[in-house]
Amino acid sequence: MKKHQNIISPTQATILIINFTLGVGILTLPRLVADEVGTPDIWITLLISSLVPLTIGFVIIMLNKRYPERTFYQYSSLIVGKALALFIGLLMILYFMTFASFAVRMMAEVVEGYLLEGTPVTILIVILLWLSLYLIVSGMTSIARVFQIIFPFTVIIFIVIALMSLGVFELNNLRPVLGEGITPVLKGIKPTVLSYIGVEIMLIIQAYMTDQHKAKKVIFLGVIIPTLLYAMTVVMVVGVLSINGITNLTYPTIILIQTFELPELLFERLDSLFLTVWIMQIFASISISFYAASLGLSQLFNKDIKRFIYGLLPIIFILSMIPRNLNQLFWIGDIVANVSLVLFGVIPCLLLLISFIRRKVQ
Amino acid sequence: MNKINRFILLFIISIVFLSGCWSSTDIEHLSMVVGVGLDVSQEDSNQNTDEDEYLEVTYQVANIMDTQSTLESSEQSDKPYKNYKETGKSILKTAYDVNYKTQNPFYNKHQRLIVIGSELAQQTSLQELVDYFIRDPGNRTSNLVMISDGVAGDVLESDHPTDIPSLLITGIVQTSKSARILEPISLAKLLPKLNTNTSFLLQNIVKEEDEVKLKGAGVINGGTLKLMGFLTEGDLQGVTWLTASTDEGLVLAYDEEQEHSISYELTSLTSTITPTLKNNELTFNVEIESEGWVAEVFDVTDEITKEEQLEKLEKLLKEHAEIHIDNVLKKLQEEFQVDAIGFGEYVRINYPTYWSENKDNWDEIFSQTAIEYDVKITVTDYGMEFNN
Repeated sequence: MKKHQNIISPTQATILIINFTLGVGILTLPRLVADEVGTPDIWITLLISSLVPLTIGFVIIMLNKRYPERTFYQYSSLIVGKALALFIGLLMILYFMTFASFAVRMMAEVVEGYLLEGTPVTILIVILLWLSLYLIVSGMTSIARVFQIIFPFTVIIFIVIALMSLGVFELNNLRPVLGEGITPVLKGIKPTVLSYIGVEIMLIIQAYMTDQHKAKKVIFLGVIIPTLLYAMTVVMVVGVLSINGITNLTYPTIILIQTFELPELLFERLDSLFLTVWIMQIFASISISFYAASLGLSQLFNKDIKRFIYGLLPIIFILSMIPRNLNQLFWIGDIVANVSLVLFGVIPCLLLLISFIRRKVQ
Repeated sequence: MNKINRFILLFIISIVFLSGCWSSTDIEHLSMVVGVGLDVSQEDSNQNTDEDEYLEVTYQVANIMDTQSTLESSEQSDKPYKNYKETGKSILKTAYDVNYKTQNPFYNKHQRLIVIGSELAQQTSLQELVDYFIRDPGNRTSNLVMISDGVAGDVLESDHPTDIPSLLITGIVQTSKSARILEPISLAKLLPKLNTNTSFLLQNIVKEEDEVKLKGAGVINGGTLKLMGFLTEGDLQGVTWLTASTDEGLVLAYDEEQEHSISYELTSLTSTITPTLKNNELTFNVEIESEGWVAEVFDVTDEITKEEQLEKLEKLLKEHAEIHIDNVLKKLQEEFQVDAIGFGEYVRINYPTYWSENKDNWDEIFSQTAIEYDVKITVTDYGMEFNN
């Protein structure tokens, strides 16, 4: 019965990864990369750095393949022993919790600034957390279904916005291509990779996926689609605002949408529309990481997941209220991203290696 | 009974959730700011004000409700807008202060225009002046920025009973494509220029005989981001030829021999700007090509459209264009010594390494760079009147 509740199709898994990846990055990515790169080639940076999550994704699949139908929390003790597995598991849980609280606070800050001026940040956070609690108590299948509804909206709105900004787009802002060589392009890889956090969820969801042989396709699409959406956003932002225009904007993408007005369309301003879609994405990110953290606890300690879901809710809320200003919030975002690179870039590789050796020895 | 109770409970709860937005304000209770004018404070007597309160900000508020305006002031009730003036040290401070004078809070999400008076633009960096408008999340970056050779507050006044000056001005700029009007510059387009300390042009708008008039452009120095001086409408025509910023517009040439004027309407205008770097010496070559048709001939003869006359006409138009181009280049290179027409962009694209070395003193280099140009005009059509 419980098993039946938690089955997702490969398509749903892909959408889960995409929705988890797209999030805070959409608004801040252009600035972060532009700061490092300094030339209009940041879209090349994006394309190159998508190789990193792809590699991580394939390592994760190889690892998962050795322990089918088990999540990372369950099989890691088979590789490194109980104590170490518990430690890694708890680190991951802490990571997912911090990520959820970072994302929810980010959402609240942006919404407070652009949409609901004067609404306390606390209220916005509480409402969103309650909503995602409501979603995740019903299990993985429900989460996947909701994301399936959210996803097409995101893509459509993204494309609409990209087309709309063509009116103020200037190709010269994107030239010269590779004018200062490849070095600046490579400098931007690190902050970009940090926006690609998302494939690591495969450590957990693959266990619930049908058609395991399609896992490679899931990873591939799960990385490529966000890459394309990111690249499109960056090309438009740079094309309209130019590389020098975005380095001192907190959220360049919102400014991009504010630069054009289309009275012909039903909505003269698309920023609220875009922010709505963005909130849905953040909601998706929060729900998955919230669920991943609760699932981890329930599997590590072999208890019912529901008590952990309710238990984590206040902790995530408190965590999200810790940063005192935007700078601290961005700083936490940086740390989360760096930790993710170690936690999901290095550890799966090590575990895969150990697992190889163990089997050989046996 | 239980069912009914549940229903009642549902209704009571729905009151809380369906009554609408928590912090909503009715549209009648908002003062919609449509335009802002920035000036140097004209108050000569500083009795109780600080000496530093040099800013005078004019807020143009659209009158949404007629009844409201009659209540507030009887003499202005016939106008669809109301201007509020306030002096202060910062723009936001004036916005707060002016709010004390109105019954409704200011709402700037529909603001369209920022006009900066020349006196203020000459002494204050543009970066400082527009900072608030970029920083404020409510303000849209589609706001147009213009300079006024005079007092910005005056431009935002109109005697016409139905015009709202801010909307009128943005309307004119956005719909009319003329060789004498600069491409509108929004906050979004201004921002990269400010960040990179690039010199540029801003549309000048003045008040003449109770009418707003687009008249030439202000030259902004990239280094100081202050206003240096003005280009005339004729100069702007030269800028249009050089940069091909529009492909529609009218060129009026005067045939001195025949003493008649000919209107040439552009149907296409392209300019190819190619910088060449030889031995660290930069030169520009600009190829300007235009096609158009004779839209009006102010003369009794129909000679003008005859085959043999055509070459003469094209030559006439070419000379006309060259005069304007010469003038504007001379002004920019000798008088102002800044590259306000974006030639640096082409160096950045074509010679990125040279550009990164020299971008800091680009204005200086530009003013000593040789610019060669070639104008090619083709008259393709004479309208519905044809004599051969």
